[in-house]
Amino acid sequence: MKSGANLAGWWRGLRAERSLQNPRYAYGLLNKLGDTLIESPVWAVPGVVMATTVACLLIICVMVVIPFSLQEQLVFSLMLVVVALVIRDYVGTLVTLVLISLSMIASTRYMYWRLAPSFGGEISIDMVLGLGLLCAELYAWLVMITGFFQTIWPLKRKPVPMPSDLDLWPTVDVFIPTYNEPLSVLRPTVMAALGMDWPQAKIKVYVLDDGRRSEIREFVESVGATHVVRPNNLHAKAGNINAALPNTGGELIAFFDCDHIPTRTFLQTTVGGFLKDKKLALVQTPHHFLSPDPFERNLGLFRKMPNEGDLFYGLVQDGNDLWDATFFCGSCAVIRRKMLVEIGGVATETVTEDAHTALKLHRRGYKTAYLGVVQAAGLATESLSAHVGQRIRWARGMAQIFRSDNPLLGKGLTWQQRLCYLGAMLHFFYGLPRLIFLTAPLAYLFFGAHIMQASADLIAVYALPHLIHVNIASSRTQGKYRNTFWAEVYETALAWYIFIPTTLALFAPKIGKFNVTAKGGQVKEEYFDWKIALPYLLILLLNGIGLCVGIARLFWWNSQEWGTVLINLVWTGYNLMLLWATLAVAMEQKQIRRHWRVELTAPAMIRFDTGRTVACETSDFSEGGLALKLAADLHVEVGAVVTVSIFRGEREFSLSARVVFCQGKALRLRFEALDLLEYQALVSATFSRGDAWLKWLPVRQLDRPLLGLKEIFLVGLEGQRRLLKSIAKVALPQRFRTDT
Amino acid sequence: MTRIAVVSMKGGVGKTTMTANLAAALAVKLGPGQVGVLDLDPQNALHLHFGLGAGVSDGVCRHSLSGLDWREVCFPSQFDVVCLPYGAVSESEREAFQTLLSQDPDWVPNQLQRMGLGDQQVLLIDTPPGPSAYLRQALACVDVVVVVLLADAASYSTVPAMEAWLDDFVAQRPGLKSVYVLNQVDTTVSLNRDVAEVLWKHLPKRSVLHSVHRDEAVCEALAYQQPVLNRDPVCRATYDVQRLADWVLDAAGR
Repeated sequence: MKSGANLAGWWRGLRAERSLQNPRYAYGLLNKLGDTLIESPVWAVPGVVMATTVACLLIICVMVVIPFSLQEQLVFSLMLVVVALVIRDYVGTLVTLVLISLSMIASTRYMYWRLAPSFGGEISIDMVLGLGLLCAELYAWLVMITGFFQTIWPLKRKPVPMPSDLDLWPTVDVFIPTYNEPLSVLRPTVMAALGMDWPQAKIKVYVLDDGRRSEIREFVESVGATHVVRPNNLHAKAGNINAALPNTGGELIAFFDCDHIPTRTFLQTTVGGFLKDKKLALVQTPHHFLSPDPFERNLGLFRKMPNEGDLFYGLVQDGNDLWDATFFCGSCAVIRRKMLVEIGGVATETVTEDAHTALKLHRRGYKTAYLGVVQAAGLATESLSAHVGQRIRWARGMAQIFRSDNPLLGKGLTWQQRLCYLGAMLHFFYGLPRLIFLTAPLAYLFFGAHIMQASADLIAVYALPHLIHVNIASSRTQGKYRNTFWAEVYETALAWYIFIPTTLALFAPKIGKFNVTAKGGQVKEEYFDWKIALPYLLILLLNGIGLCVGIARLFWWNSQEWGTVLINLVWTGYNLMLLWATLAVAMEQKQIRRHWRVELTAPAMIRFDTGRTVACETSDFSEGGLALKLAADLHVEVGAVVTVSIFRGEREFSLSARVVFCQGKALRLRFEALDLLEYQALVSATFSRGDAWLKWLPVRQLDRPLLGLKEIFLVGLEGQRRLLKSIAKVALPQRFRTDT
Repeated sequence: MTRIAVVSMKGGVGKTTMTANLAAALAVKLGPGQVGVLDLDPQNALHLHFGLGAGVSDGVCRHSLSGLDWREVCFPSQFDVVCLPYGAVSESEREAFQTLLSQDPDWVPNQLQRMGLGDQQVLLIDTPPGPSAYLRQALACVDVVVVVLLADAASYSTVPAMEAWLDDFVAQRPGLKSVYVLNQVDTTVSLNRDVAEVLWKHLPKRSVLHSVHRDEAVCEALAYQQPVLNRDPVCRATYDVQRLADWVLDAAGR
């Protein structure tokens, strides 16, 4: 008992010591050594950098190809893993680079070992299946390499301040393309665009309405923006923008999707770079979502865990920026008109016109910049099927670019840019490899096919170090923006749907049309998306059977090669976990709010009709109402009408509202019907505050790979529960149901 | 010692109330015995805000005329603010005091010197509206000037005159800090809102502008003879005055 307590204490002590607060990891011996190395005068000597690089590469090559026996490989791998585990908590880019190098050595060594025995031998079913797995692994390896390349050193660019002389400020056109989105979605965006801090004579806001709707025209003109239409809808969004180019004249064009509400500081933050660098063609800022995407909503993880966008905008784009390979993302960006016109407007050849436009700009030798400061916010896709639809479009577009304007070929790009584009495109071909990984162990479990021509112990000493290092290194580079293993859930859920369009687009790039992503709606009732889930249910079933067969093989049929059986069993177990988690996503949760509540802490005031006031703070807001945090308990009649003021600096925005909830220090108000002026005030006080989205990345603990595994396991359990519930709902007659 | 003058070009803007509320807010921040108020306004109303109505008849006016020490008219209040009232005086006494002040421009500074206040202490001086001998005396010795005005056309029209005055004093005392306090702001009233916006835009750059919202709690506080801070600690006016106190301390280099 006592020793148990001691052990627990020792473990806690160890954990505490490993906490990031420990100064050892910032100022320890290893950091000092690293600093000494970096600041050493040796590097100034001509040729030293080159010689060191060559020497390092040589050592790496030797470490990759040198043949080892089983025992030697075991010792070698253990050494590398121990080094990685020891240094991974130390801060500094040097340590990151070492961890990445270790991961590349272990993974490339594994790939080299995998490739070596594959050549020669007679053709068998084992070999064909094995070749499939090998290709999938090669793909994963390539994605890993390009991924590390893209994220090796995020640039973290800072905004360039604007000159004090207003005459130097360029003229700006704001383009807000829309097709069928309702006025309620468009309204805050237009209001916020008009409210941006910029000389009034130098900014024009255009709503490019491909729906040609009269109510949109009425609204747009009433607030002082320009409604632009064209006679046809050729080339969707890209065509819409291109049609507006000849009729407008601003030096810069800011793009906002109709549901991305800009802050008032957007232009002052983004435009400075254009004045400083005459070759700069594009400045992109993050897309930030104030509502949860289907993954976050259905798993209940909104703001608790980084989402896909956090990784892309938090890290990948910032990493691309180092190589001058920032991608245009279609919205929340500024482009220099002259250069856009020079490449023939927004690209129309593919369905991802934005990425292709950036590619064309890069080919011309123009520069791009990424500013990782959220200057606009919008709504995420509303349902899983819409989300899947959007990803299909991106994947198809990337495949189209790969076919029609391959970034590896053609003129004008640096090799770094080519690698970044390759990484971005490869990423979207994960459909087939992911499906292969999900089914590969079944080849053995069902048919006894040995798709890896090696004994279990050899596979273990090569594959395990590779897996461990990849997870340590990507946890290091991406940990702040992504939880280990969660990317696998995201990919698994989309794999089946991405696989078909990407393959199609690879062979027939011209097929496929633009689909508009539906946003801002409601999911009235919880339901299980059987249509989306069906392929995964099948794979799940197969893996489940595989697991049973595997257990039989382990104990009875193939107990002589228990190692191989065990590897395949563990693999299937992992696949089952991913699949369960994926199915949890397919259970669409209720989304009843018409307006999303956004967290905001801003000074506020309530004024009662008695003339008394209360100073307070907002805790969240939506287009429909406001929640307030009071300093002391307050009693107000529910239903009372009050005036609420929200402050932005010394500016005060007052709205009339009705009390809908009051308890202790919490007060919730619903806005009375807002007129146009009041609505403008609401947008100015909330969405378009310059500080509205400063804390866009969820505050979270340090990523730990094993912790991520546990989370997925728990979500998987939830998936099982939901599936069983849904089956019960379908199978049981109406009268047995309790929930209707 | 930090000295703060609370002034206005026009009566009825809530200057005396502002002095009392600001003093109480400073007292909460600085602790007991650190904050005092000096009433140089013949209306003799400041001490009423601290519940010192009855029993306080003497003040700095008569004491000055009899050549007595001001320390004898320091009345402590339950709000941790020491009060030096003007005192209830006759017309002739008031005129005599004003003559005294006109003849000796350093009378008030000298009296304050004689009181021997500590470095950490803060004294707020309430002055009558518009130019006067009191105002001149106060401005000659303060570190911070708080100019109170309303968000109305009348107050707005007094800004140029006030600016000219301040310019004069700043020329003599370069370190002088000033803040305009826009009192009784209520943005639900459109005229009030418009004047506030114009003032925000047109007030000279060197002066800071600060809003204190219209609040029924301020009037109630006076009725109960206490600062608004004690009447309603969570109302907006209290919050505004506390922010003003922060600004004043900051401006005084505290």
